[in-house]
Amino acid sequence: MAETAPERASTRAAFADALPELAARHNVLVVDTDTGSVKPAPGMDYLNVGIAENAAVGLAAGAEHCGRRALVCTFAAFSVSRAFEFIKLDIAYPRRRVCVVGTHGGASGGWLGPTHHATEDLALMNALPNMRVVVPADARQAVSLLGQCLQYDGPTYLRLGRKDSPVFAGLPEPELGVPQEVRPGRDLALVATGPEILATALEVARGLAAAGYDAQVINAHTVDPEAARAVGRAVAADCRWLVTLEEAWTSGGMGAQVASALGARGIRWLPVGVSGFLPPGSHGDLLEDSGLTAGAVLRRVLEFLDRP
Amino acid sequence: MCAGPEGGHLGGSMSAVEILVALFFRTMDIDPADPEWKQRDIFVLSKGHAAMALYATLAERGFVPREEVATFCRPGSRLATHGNVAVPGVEFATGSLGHGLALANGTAWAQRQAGGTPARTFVLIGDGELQEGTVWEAAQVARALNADNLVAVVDVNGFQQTGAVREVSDGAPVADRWAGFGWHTVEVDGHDLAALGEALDGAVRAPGPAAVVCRTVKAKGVGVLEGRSASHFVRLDTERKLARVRGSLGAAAAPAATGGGRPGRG
Repeated sequence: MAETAPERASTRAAFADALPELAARHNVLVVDTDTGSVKPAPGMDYLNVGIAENAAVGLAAGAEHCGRRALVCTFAAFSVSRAFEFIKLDIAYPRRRVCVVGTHGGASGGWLGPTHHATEDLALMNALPNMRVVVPADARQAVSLLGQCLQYDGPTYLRLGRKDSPVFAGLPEPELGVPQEVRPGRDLALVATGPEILATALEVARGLAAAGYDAQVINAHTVDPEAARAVGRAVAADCRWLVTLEEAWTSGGMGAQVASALGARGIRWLPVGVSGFLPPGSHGDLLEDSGLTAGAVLRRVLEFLDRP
Repeated sequence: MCAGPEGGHLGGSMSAVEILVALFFRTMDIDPADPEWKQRDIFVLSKGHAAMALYATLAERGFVPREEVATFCRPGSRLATHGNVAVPGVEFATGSLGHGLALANGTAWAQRQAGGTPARTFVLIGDGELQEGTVWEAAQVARALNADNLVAVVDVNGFQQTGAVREVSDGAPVADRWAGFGWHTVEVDGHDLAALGEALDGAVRAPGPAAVVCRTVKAKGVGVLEGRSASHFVRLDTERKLARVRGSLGAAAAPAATGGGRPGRG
């Protein structure tokens, strides 16, 4: 069973540290957009095209057309929303082996404000056929899943955070597209995506245990529709309730995919995520204001379980 | 091709015919028997609505059977309104304007990485398309990358779907804009094959990215439609319409209807 470890680490920093070696090993062109998130290194093909997300995605697609794998690094708020049509037509449609990396995912942009928050990215990327949508649960998973994205035979989106976030002890090596049961349980399933949210889910599960409910916790580190079907299969057979937790707008996000996959089972579903636009503020305050802390989620889940 | 129920983008296709002929029959190093030959020059049809002209060129050049041209937009055909990658010689699915130059930056970069004398990438862009900001984003990137094997050919036919480019959102002087972005820039009559060949040779030799700005006539060669925005999309679905267009092939346009293209410094 996974537990929150005492240390915290940034998925973005882990990505930056691991990228040069992984990019060189897998012969990947790294296209950066003036993010400061990539450390150029000998042996890594690196192009910083400046503040030009559409041009970056197009360039990566063109290079891939000639046989080079590519990675595009931007802030999630810019890679997905701004360059969405380039990603749709030039990456997803032709199934190119391009990894789009979005840092500052969810509300992790914090005080940078709503221009830099990305709570739409999961829904947008989930809408694209062929796209694998990946949200590592911690810094170690970020490195492992980055390596898998760079070897995947198609397009991937890797959502990362910004500052330090929880690290989980006992979390096994992730496999792209395969959900991880991190706590067994049979009454209800808590499906969580992202570092802060998985930590919340584990704490909520402990609270539910005290109230007499046995909650299964699943780490959905891949959230696209195909992965969501795998999550659906991983939900324990006896579970009568499904609670999905994500740092994203719930419409079209991870939860919507999982609920859709489980629709035929007649399971009751509580989506927990971000509602509306967020103001500037610390990441922690934004999660609290969004009702994504363990205490708030536990109250909502208990109410949900009590409903006839 | 425009006689089917789907019609076709006649005007912007006819304005680009000589450009395509110059590229596919003279300038580009390509092999119809091996469309994906690794060392090939790459052509990107950024103005994807001119796919009709590209398909016809590919048929004449031996990439697709000539008789297939008549299937344009007919049930089961590969020849779709916009560039379809199922057709040999069509490198990208274009049609959403403003993508081609960004893609071309990537192919040209990969060609330079391949070692030896790099193959070249040619990208055909419309003058209406220059209203898309992503063209200029990519133009700036090409300069930053010193993409000396990249040539943008701009088809300045002066018209877009709803009217003259200069009336909708004037982008003239076009050549000055490319030069301002640090591109080697040359202007040429886009219907003069010899001049086009020479201009493309110069563009290929130029250090850094190069733009060949072509003064063209919308619907060139179709007298009744030449230089008219109405030629942008044409459906010749009656015998009368078809006969009228056929009867005007090769005829000169009425003087008042020409002169839309303003590629350069006036």
